[in-house]
Amino acid sequence: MGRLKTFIKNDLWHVNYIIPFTAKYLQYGKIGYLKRALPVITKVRVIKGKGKRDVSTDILELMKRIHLGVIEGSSFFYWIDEYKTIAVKGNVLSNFCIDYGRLVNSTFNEIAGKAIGVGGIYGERAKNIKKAVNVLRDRVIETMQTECNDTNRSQLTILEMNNLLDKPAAHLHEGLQRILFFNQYMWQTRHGLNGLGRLDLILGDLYQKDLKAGIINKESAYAMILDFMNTLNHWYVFKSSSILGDIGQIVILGGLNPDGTYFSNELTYLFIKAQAESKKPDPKTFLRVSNNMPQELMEVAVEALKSKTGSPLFSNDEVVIPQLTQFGFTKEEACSYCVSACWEPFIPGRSLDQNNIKAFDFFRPLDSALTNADLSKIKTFDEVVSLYENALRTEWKTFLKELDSYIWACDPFVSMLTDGCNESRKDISQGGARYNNYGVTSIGMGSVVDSLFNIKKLVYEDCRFSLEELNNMRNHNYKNQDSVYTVLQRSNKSYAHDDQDVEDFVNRIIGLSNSVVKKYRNPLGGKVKFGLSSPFYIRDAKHVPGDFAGRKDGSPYSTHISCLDAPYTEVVNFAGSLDYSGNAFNGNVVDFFVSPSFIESNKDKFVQFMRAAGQIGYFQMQMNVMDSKTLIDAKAHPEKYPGLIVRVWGFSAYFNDLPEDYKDVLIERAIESEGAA
Amino acid sequence: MDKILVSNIQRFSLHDGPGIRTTVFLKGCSVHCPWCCNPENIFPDILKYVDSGIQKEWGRWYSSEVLLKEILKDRSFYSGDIQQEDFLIKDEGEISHLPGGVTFSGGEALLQSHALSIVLRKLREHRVHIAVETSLFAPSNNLKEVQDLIDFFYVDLKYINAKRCHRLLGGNVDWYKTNFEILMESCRPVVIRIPVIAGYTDDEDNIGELSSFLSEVHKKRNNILRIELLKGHHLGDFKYEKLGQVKPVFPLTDDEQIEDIGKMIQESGFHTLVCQI
Repeated sequence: MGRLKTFIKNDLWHVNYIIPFTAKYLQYGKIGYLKRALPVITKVRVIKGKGKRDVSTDILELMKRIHLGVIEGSSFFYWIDEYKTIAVKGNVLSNFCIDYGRLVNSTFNEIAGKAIGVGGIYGERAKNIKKAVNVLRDRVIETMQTECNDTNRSQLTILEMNNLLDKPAAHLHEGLQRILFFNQYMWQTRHGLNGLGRLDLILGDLYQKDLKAGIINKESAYAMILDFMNTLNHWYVFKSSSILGDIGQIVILGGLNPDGTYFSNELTYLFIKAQAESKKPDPKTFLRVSNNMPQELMEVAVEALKSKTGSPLFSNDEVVIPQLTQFGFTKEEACSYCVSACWEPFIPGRSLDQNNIKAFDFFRPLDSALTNADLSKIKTFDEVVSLYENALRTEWKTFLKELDSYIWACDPFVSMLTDGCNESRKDISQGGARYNNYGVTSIGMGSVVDSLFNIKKLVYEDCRFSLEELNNMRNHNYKNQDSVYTVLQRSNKSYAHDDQDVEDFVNRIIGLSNSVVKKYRNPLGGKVKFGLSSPFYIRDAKHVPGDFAGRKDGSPYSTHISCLDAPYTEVVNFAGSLDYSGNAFNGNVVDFFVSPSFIESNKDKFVQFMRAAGQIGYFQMQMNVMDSKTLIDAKAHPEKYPGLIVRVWGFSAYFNDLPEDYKDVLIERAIESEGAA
Repeated sequence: MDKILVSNIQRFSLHDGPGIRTTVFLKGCSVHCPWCCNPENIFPDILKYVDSGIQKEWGRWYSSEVLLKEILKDRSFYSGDIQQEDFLIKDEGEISHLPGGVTFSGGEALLQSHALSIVLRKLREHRVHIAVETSLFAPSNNLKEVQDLIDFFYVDLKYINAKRCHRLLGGNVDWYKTNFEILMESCRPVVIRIPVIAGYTDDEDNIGELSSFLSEVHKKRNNILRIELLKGHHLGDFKYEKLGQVKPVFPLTDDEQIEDIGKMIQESGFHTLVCQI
């Protein structure tokens, strides 16, 4: 299967461009997929450049040929032609954000000029990209002149487009327009899951300048940001990756400065409020929190949770930044971190880092170890653990080897925006960037921990079954073993509880994983990072046999760092005790369900909780503010809930758009959390 | 003996006192309110029951060391240390400024006050805010032994009429009155909680008697911060089923009536608050 995927990705590049257009329909089954995908497939056209085939000439031609139009009711220009694209060999970089700060506060011509100056094929490609951006800019102007009836709006866009290439943005609106222009370029050239970066920091000076000059006031700036967020919500289906809503347009807000002070400004608040008011799942917000952040900011963030869009996600700088520096990023780089589409720390403008290329399954080694060993010979629990650990090492080695097969698509535009590429005269796809790391996510940690602790109790402490008996029942999916299954299902869970033995054991697995992972270098010389949260806890669990903790064959794993039978404080204590050092910092999200009434009637105490949780040291945290009653009704009567938004893995989506098994997991978790709270 | 019988430890508890708290439900109660929603806490021993075919137990003996460890797990969430002035507050507005901490509830927490005193002393060393929810139906010496170690009291008030108290709760109202007086002299901040249960406590006679009692108290005491009226509910019915006992039957008081009762109680001079549960 892995080889087939690699073949499709690497060798079928003339036709594989179609995958991103259709992957989101895989959830609908074979017939549903064909019904939805075929009309798209038949419409999509690949644009080829003139002369010798090259990605840069293809892009230049693409920019000449795309259709452009005007979004009604927006003050910005933003358009994507979802049916024209390019074919390019290798994986197109995605799941990251470019350094918009450079494009806003410096000039594109200057950036492109430096890349052109490198010369050779690298410089030639940069020259074509410069032309392509020029073409796009000119065509935007032309479109506004011919298709926009609002003269003021048209004039503003033309003015902003005239400045686009050789002047830094001079106003807040212009800065936002420039981000939209290059964001459009990214989507149009097949990059997916495009993050937006630290927009409060990037645009802060422009906001202050306009405010002082009386060009804007707080209210008009807010309206502008709301307009910007709503504009980005267009092409919702086209932009979605594997499930509708999986878009990755994440706005990073706040954060620690290298000197230890906390950065936030009025835009931080405006973005949080605008996202909440937009009542849309995407774009979403991501708040970098710290012990010395303003109390008011945490209050505004908690208030925003009540809008039930799943934003903001909270990322604890007190924990994340030290892990980035110990890994090898400079303090300044670490403090500038953004994230890939969900939560994986990413340093914009410095790195290739592709942070979500595969998911490691911690449970599989236990499954394979117990399947292959002679269980009658295992007499102690320590032997079971040792068996697991050996299998875990082997699994990691096999898994890491598969990462070698990835190749990346040539990307002259992203290269010119990434430090290291000009200097090394190498495209980012060839390892030109300063950092070339990979990131993987993980699933099944809860399953393996709960299973092992159940085995310890039932087999070696209570002596109720032999390991062989228990494993046989598991192998038969607990058929005719309802009472045993009930015991396993209803046993108190261990994972995500603040029990010292559990915490030590999880850290032991992390440590062992680190010892294998840290030795790996990818073909570009980069390292690999892993994290304890993953989008694939449902999809990748479908072919995995059941465990010893109530999970049957193919059932979903638990979501990120969570459990269904512990209060929030306990899960946070657990998360705070984990060792995220070494390479284990590729996103570690605590995932909670919170009922709307709970937050509504306890807002002050919830703010207190969030502040204390930060001090305890969770890595990241996200919340579904939703009650089970609503979700159950929405599943039965989708027509009543067209706007119901839920947090899925690292993104938010409309509940009605989700596959049924995702809906079921959310309902189950909501019910359980109401019981625990 | 260093052992404390606990039926449940509820962390991240937001309705049993200021801030974020851990509520420790102690087993054993000296009265038996007909509307009780925690029937598992009445009997002072471990109770076995079956849940979905699995044998379970209500109750577990804790040593003071283990109980302390459990309570301190959420120490960081209590957000702050207890200060000398915290147990001298006289204004209900100050309650929300107090730190979180631990609340001992029940059953009747004071029945185990001797065993509990070790934990209370340790908690004091850790400067954790301590609250107790009590019916006050406990020997006075029990209260005296721990009153200085407790920072905040929630005190139930159901009947002040000796006959009704005896007939419906099985309690001696003189115990209550004596303990109430001790508590008032201690000057510790107190919130009074009156359960408004249709057919049991909501009649005019009873509310009138409670109101007169509180009026007398109001003339000489200022450590009662407010009166809370608690609406009856049936959330504990499933526990009766599990225990094989008969569920209490009483209608729920409507909002209008409870507001009227609130007004009567408010005439005693204390600020009165209607709580939903």
